[in-house]
Amino acid sequence: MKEILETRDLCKYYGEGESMVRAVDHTSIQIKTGEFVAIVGKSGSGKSTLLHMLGGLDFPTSGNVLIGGKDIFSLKEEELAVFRRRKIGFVFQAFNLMSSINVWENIVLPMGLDGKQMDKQYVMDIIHTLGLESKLQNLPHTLSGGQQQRVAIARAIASKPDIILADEPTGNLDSKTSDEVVGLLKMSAKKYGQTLVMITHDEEIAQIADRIIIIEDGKVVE
Amino acid sequence: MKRELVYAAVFGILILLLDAYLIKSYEKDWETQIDALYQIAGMESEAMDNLQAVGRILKEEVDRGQLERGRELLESYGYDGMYDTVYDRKAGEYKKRIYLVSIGIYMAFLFCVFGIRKTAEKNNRKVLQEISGILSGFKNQKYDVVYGEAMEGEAGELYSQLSSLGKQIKIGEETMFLEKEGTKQLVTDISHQLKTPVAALKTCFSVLEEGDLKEEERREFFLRCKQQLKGLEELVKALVNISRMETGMIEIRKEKKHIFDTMLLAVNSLYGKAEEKQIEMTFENEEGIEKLQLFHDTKWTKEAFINVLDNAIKYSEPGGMIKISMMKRNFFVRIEIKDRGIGIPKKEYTQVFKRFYRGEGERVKKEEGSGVGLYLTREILERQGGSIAVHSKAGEKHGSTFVIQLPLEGIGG
Repeated sequence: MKEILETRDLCKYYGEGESMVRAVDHTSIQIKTGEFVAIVGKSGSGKSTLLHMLGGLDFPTSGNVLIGGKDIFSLKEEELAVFRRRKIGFVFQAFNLMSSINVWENIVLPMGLDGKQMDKQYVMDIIHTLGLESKLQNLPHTLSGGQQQRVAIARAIASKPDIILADEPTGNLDSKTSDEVVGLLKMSAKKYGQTLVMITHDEEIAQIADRIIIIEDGKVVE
Repeated sequence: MKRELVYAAVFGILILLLDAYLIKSYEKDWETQIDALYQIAGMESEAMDNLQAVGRILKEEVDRGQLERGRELLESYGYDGMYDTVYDRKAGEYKKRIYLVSIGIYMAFLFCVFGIRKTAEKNNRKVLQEISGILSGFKNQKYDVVYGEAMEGEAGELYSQLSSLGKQIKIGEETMFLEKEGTKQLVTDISHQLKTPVAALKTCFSVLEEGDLKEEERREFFLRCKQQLKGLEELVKALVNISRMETGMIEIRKEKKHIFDTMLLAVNSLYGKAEEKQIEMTFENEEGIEKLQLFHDTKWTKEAFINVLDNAIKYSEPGGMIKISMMKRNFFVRIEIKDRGIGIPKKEYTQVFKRFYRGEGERVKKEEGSGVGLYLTREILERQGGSIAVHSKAGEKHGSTFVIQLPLEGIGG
């Protein structure tokens, strides 16, 4: 099976000399197509920095990130932005929904940016899978945390990205809802053949993944 | 090509008709002019002056007599109609001009019709060449259709279909590869698992064979052989199940059934075993859960529940308690199976679901087991869009809680 996502000796340092912080330190990981990987670590272990670099949201001090064999940091900035939009879906802890537009618009917005023809049947299918049919006209702030997270998941999956990067997607949710959200993420990723990388500090949540990568002080331990 | 020929023929006829019409109307025109000349020639100079005569002609006042006279007069001088006059020469010139222009127009028309066709053909050929390139790429296992996807119209549609076909083939191939790798790994694992008990059995038998054993020792080795054999039997049973699951021989057949009934079947099949250890199994269900139907494979889901419950009984002290709670959530039915047994250390959380993994603890080693149960359980649940996880603290009385999620009807397809 091909590696869809790979890091080679990835480093991210902040500051200099004595006070230098090694947020990510010589990390090399491989993630296969269709895999569900959980990256587990305490807060401050560098896992979010790692995820941001995986998604091309942050530049490394040294090392490479390869997506489908392509070094994403060798791309020009505009190319990287397009690449990110086409290949990667993000789900954040804070949901990051646009508050002034309704649920439906939030879900289809990234596709509009890309001028991509929308596969409406597919989007409706996702909306159905995530149980959002009746909420499409709602504004995000009228929804519960779990519902907002489902909208964020729908948005991430709708543009058919190859990779979904989820940063503490259950951070603001109670444990039963967390189990459901991760179950849904897994189910959708399997159903649509997507690769899922999830960051969490919660080892109980991480169990649902196919594989767990543990990160401590910026280094992969396991 | 046929269509273009028909166009050419129709247009050709139209142009000929137009030419005939133009020539005819010129001739008509000239006839009028010649008549006027006849009239002037037949004029009697005494009766009217030239100016008057021309004025009449311009007013179209035809004087038949005058006209006939003029004709006769001119004919007697050898002028018969247009023949061999300035008109005759002009007519020739006009006709030539008309034909030349028509031929020009006709050629331009032909050029357009066939030129458009040529360009279309060229385009088609390019598309065909690209498609053939894509297809030969498919043959060489390159499934990315990079060009033309943004094209409009039918060709664009064709490209996007080819592209999705390519993606499908790719996914298919990758799945096949994965399955093959999985089977390889399975064979390795199984042979590894079988080696140890078979070797032990062999040793046991060879000791028995030597013969110079006391009756008491003989009996002991005999018993050990029997135990080994029993263990092997269990292992083989588990391996058969797991092999069936892995190689796709087990098909998950989802039916719309009451999930509570499936759980009840699992509990009932372990009732005797729990009774023996005086372990009580109780339900603490959300109201109405008995009526909840969802699509699941009853046979294998029951098997999955049995595996979890069996562990709970195995690793609980006599007199313990197992609590099963089922509740309907937004997307899943959530089943918690809680025991007060030995618990599972945090670092083994994910390990326990791995194939052939057995816990590190002394207590675990004491119990019979092949390390297959929870692995199979996870497989069964995940194939139905569900999941399983353990929430536990190792140590006295804390026990383990296994959380199972199975998708509700209509979710996940």
